[in-house]
Amino acid sequence: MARNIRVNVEYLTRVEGHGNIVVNVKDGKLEQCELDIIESPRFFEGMIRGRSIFEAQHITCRICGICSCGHTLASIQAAENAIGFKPSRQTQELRKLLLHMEELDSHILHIYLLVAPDLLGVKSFVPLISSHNEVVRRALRMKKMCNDICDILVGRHVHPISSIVGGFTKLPEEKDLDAILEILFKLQADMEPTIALAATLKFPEFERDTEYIALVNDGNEYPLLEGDIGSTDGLRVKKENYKGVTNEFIVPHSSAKHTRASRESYMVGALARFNLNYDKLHPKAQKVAEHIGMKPKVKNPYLNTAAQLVECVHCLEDAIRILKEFKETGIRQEEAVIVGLNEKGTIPVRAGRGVGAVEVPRGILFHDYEVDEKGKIVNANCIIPTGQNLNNIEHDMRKMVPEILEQSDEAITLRLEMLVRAYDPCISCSAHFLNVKFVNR
Amino acid sequence: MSNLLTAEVSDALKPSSGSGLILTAGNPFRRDDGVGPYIASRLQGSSAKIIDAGLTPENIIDEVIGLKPDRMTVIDAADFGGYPGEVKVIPEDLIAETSLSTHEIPMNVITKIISDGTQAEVVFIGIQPQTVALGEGLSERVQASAEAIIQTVLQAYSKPR
Repeated sequence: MARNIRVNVEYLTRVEGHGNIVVNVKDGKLEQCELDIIESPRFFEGMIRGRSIFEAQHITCRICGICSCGHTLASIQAAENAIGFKPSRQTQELRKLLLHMEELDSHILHIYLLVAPDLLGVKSFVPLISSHNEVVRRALRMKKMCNDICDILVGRHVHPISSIVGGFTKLPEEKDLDAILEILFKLQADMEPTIALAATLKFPEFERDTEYIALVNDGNEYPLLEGDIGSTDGLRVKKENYKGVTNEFIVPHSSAKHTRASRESYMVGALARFNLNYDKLHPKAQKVAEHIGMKPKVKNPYLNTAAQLVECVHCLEDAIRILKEFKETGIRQEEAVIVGLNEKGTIPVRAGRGVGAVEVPRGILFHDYEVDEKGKIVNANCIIPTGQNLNNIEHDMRKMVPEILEQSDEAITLRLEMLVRAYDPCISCSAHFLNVKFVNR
Repeated sequence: MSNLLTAEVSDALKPSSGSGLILTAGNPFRRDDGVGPYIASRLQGSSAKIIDAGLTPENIIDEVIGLKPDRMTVIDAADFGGYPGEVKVIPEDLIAETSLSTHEIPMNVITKIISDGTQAEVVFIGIQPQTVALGEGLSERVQASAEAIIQTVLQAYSKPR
């Protein structure tokens, strides 16, 4: 018999920020299926107009407490592109290390604290504190280790201080490299049981073919910090032309804009990167993917979490590589730069436009600045990964709901919530977002 | 005993029979939210074992568990609808369960991890803020309550145990 279903989740938990899921099925026909984003816009782009590009990263990193390093790096990249500054190899390697720690930190918390409870059949990670105390402590211990490395590298756990346009105000000394490497080896020890645990988790079965978008390059490196924009549909454009990829548009039920590229929607994030750049993952990360049965092209969005696990291994191993290389070559301390607001003209400035495109934990992040001849920002645009995924989540929901109509309202609600959580959305960052409203089925 | 503090609060600030510790948390750049770190800074060097978790209480879990406390007294700004500067012992089940995300882990979740790992008794002392606006320095009433707590702890820990 055709059913009427009303799902109305007016506060989705275990995501960052606020959003609602609304599903309305009438006489067995899907009439409404929306992800309402109800966060207020943040106006960061307006805030940095008239400010110096040399302070923009300190402001824009406040868009997000988890992706603060990613925003810092995208902001710096946009600024350096705008004024024509080319960072040194040492600077880029240290920036990659910083980004690796952020990916690892964010992915670990998402896998352990936000997704694992669903897969272990509990409402939140709080019951796991008693049933899996060591597991919860391991998750938080790994998070702390990533934070501690950031502290050593850029002066703070979050919101980097020493990472600036031009390089770093303070560079790690020999003892700092030793301290970071020691922490990385401890992380390596905690990664083994993490992989073992994740391999036991059973993800829901669902597939929808979509376009996956991430940074790509022609080299051998898994691109996180640099590259062109590429897609599984064959798109490849320079980052400066990102607007031709994102094609933002407004929908009435969301304070965050939606995006689409070659087809109705696209996905960014760990699964997109995995699908596009699998061959460039560290061999140990590829081995983990094989162990859990993943091979591109993976079309199950729930496996974004599994792709995050694979990336954890990659980021950790590549971080160790970077550290070992620095141990051999040493750090060129003379590259430290004190720029301030560039009052002394330490870095030559010119008018221009620059785009930063960085793969942060939830996907590709764009910062686009136009600066005047004094280095003041006259125009800015930031496009956050969660915003790019919203349209794709809705299309997933529209395909999935008719496939699971025979299930109870509770089961449908849970599957929808798990779907949204699999994308690891950062809603307040995108509003530029979770509650589920079933309206009739 | 300060008349700003109830007998219940003063008792909660006394040393435990074993290895008790005081845990504070908060943001010194959000005015009265910084009352915990302020108290911690003033108690450094005293015989009270005190750890300030600042903005990342999840990062002190292993350190605290390693200390094997039998009691953990948490001091934090808390909006319980009292008058500014009011100090109260707050039952654990009344600590708000804020939405858990990768961005924020509620304090009662942190203390549960610690108490499950150590069997420590947990006592929450909340101080009602007047303002948590951006800025430094405590409001007058919250400052007075902080001083009362500091003096009570110093006195309690100066006595032979």
